[in-house]
Amino acid sequence: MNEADMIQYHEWLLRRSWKGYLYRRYYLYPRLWRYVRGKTLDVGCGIGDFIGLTKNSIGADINKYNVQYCLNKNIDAVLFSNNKLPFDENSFDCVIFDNVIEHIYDSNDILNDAARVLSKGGLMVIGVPVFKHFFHDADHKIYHSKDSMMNALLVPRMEYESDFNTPSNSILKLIFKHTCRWYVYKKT
Amino acid sequence: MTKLYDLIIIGSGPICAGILHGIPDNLSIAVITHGGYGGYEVDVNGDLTYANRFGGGLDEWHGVSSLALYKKHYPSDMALAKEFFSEIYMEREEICECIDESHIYIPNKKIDLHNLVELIESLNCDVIVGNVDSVNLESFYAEAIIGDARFRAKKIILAAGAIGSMRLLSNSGLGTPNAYIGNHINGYCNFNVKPPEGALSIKRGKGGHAKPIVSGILSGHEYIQYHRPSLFDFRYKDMLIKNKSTYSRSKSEVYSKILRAMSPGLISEAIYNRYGYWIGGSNSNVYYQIESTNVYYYDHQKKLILVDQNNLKSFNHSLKSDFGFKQLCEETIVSGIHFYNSVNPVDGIGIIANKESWSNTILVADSSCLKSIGGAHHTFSIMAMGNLAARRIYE
Repeated sequence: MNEADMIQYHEWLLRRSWKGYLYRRYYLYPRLWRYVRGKTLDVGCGIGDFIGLTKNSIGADINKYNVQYCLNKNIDAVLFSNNKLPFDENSFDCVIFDNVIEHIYDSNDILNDAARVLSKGGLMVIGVPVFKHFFHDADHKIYHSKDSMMNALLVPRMEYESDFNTPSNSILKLIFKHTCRWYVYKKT
Repeated sequence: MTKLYDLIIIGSGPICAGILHGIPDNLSIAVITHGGYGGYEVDVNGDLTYANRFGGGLDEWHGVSSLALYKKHYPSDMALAKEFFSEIYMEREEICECIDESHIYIPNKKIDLHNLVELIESLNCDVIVGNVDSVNLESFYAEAIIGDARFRAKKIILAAGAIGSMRLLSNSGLGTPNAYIGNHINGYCNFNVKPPEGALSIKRGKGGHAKPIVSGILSGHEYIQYHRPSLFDFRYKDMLIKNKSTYSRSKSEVYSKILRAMSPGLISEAIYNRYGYWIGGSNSNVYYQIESTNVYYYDHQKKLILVDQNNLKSFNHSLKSDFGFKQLCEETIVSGIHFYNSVNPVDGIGIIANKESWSNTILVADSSCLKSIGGAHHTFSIMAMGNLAARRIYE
């Protein structure tokens, strides 16, 4: 991602709608918190919406403008690059990828590194858009099908546990038009 | 480690939909698409590799598919071709009645597989957005390269349109482009046409599968002209009445067309379709398909197949002035390029229309792989062939 793209994406994140914020604050994150335990890492944390509301959590992003924004807001975030997370092995109990891997052509490396920093028995929660809403973001690069996420995730020692949709409520689906499917994996 | 798919289809148009419809649901499949849908305008001055609809807007198409074509390429699979067309419609009985010994009449109504989104979801396909730079042929797999990313599959089908697919092969150093590049341009003109000299005395091919009726040189462009069945044809009036949606959306519209056929234009059109004689009249609806040459060329520096704008303009000018085409739209003239004979296939690359090449690692699926399909609808035809090939490959 070059400098201009970083600024553009950071500004795009800042233009979030109040509707989207309410949805995340009062619907999406409470659902994710069901899987959050112990120390949590949010990979691709953006402007820190999730980690700002989640205790004992830290964010990581490749966009320095996002990281600086988080730090200015006293939200714990670190910059990383080359798919290498700057953390020790087994240092987190939960890793969240909230709409991240569809922006990357080859997500295996970052998923593998996230598995490295995850402790045994920890959960990895990955959210990707459903296909009907996949083209809403011009930066989306790969639509990961359910089959692909359940059977072909090339990360060793990660076992598929469950999946769920957000929003699952049909009225909310009509309002937000951005349905995601979340997959939960457990490190064995 | 890069995931190895069973199949990658490059292109997300009607051909992709036809192929996916024939594939069992236990395979790992990826579809590569350029993305950018929603309001994307096709740029005739660009490289012409982009369609503007995901799935090719199949819900808006209609036409005639020739069973003679399937008989020629797939003599034992004609039943499958019929089955395919009956399967893709939501009202099977109706479409089955639109199949006779030599034709399949594709109604102007929604096709069940028009919604490629649902097909992709039901087959659990991955979708990769990007412009493929090249394809690589390896020993046991092929790979599509987008920037630094590589996507591997046991088989890759190029369904990116004749220009897009050929450009990919050219950029990949596969299938050396030869002097035939740019051979043939298709135009579909349906506005107030005046038939050219010589067309009046030549009858159409038997059973509506039109044969070339005129060929010659126009502004330095070698061309062949076909015509296709038009909106209304007396031969099929029973079918029109019986099947309310064949070429029409409602029964009342069919009756309305028959009543309107009392107009000189539609009567002359019907006579022209039936007997090949033109007696003039406005408001006619005969479809012409003109294939010309020298409009596309391969730019070795840019590695793009481009339109020769000067040749295109002179050709269009001649069509208007010499042939009497009016209201000619350049966008509809620049609608296709023939793949046939344009690339020398090499080991591992095959054409989806040839049964012998189904075992190859890279397959090209494009209507222009066929030498000529005359008045039959190109896209529907190769869609069915892609479907047949998919069934055969994975049966």
